[in-house]
Amino acid sequence: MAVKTFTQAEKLTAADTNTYLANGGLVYITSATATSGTTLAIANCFSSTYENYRIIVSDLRLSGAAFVDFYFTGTTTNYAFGRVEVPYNTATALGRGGSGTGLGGAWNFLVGSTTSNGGAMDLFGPNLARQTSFIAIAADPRTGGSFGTEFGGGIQTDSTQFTGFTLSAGATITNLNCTVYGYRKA
Amino acid sequence: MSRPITTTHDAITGITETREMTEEEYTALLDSGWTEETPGERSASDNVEEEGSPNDPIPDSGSAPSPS
Repeated sequence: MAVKTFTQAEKLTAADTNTYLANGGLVYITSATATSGTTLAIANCFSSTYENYRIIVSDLRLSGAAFVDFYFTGTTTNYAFGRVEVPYNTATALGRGGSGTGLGGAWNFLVGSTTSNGGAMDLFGPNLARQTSFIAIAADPRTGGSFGTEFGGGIQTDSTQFTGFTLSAGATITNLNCTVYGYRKA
Repeated sequence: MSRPITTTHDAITGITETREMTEEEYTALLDSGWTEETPGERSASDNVEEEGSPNDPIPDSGSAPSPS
């Protein structure tokens, strides 16, 4: 039972608190920060406890402008994605790109640069024995030109039950905060 | 040649460490298509092509029969 209706003056027990009050719809699982290097790999964050997850990247700063990719640790095949960009200086959506006609080695998650930005990804079924999919949104940290907000999504076609992931940057990481949440099931 | 640095975090133990990648991790990074390419600007030629515009009238699927 996911919900309990408490009555006036009902005693609030530790068990009820832990079951009904401590876990909201979005449940914190883990977080990590990288301040150097090329990748941040988070292990053992996906399990049968949750079906769907939210991944937040915040205060992303790199040594230069570069893509930040996402792949399930140990799996670098059968990814497909597509992205659309809405530039800050116009209202015209631009096709940003994707994995092309074939399946690639990772999903492109967001763009990082020397100034801070972040992004959010919703991940559907990574620990289930079926195809995994995602949607993501992020703001390009650069101004000028046609840089803007990017929306994307994609799939990973294996039926693998993934347990962790890696974020890889095309430039040296100055800072990368990553938090993983699970969407609570009923 | 040294391999890139990685930060690893285990959600179960809570342990975070920063170290040089293993050969396996580095191979996976390369296989993922990792690139140091700078994300470039897009141009109008990259525009998403739309059929019609949001303001176009919705076409009829067919005309109503005339009353007999």
